[in-house]
Amino acid sequence: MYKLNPLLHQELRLRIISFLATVERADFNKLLEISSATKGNLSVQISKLQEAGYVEVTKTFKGKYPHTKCMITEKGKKELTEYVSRLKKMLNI
Amino acid sequence: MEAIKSIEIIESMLKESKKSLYRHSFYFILWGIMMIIAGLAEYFFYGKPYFWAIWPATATAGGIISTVYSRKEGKRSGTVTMIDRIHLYTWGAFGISLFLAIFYAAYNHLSSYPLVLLLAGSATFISGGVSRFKPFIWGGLVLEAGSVACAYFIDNRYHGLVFALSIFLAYVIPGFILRKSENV
Repeated sequence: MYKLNPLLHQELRLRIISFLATVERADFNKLLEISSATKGNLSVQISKLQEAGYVEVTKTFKGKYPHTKCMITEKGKKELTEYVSRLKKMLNI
Repeated sequence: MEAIKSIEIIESMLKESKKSLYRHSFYFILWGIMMIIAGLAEYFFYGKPYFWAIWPATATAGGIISTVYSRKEGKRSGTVTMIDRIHLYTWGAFGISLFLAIFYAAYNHLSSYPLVLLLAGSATFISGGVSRFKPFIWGGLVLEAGSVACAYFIDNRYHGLVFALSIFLAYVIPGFILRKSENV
């Protein structure tokens, strides 16, 4: 029986990390758009990924407004690769 | 969550990131049109006083439009990819080299077209390669051929015309093909 990383095996967090794996960085609004989540929920899930060291978050200002940018870390990439590899084994693909 | 659902999510995010690719066609079309105007103006007004002034005029107009567009597009895109970064540095290096090449050519009383086409050809070829977009790879080669033609076979009087034609084939036509694929 293959055990999947519980931090990644959650719909919204998986959406965030797989999107970040394909770009160098994305801002909060973009993640909001691709995930269709609420601001609060997205914020909570990004924080969880950040605490685990999978995602790096930079907060700056664009004019008067806060601007949050996220990028996947090396650890995040490694965990996602491992997660995908286990999924493939589970599904025999 | 089912394992198959996880795969679907990952696949959908891959598709989503492709949609988020920065739209580069605008710059090729814009600069293509600007350079064609400049090349043709130089051809038709060749030898007239201040005929060279069309170059700074079109470069300034193109620069302003590009800056406004990139700010707007940057907000829309919300992402930065490795390809965006390669484009930025390739065309940044092109801009600096272009300035120096025009200066060297003017200093030595030579036509700047062979050098300008050579540099533009290299940058376009790289852009085409990293984007895996063949029309720009071919476009880069067309510009290199234009450079050879201007350097060895064509009289200075017609360099503006050769330049305009090369840019039309290398920037404008591929730019519109790319635009069509970006809008899908």
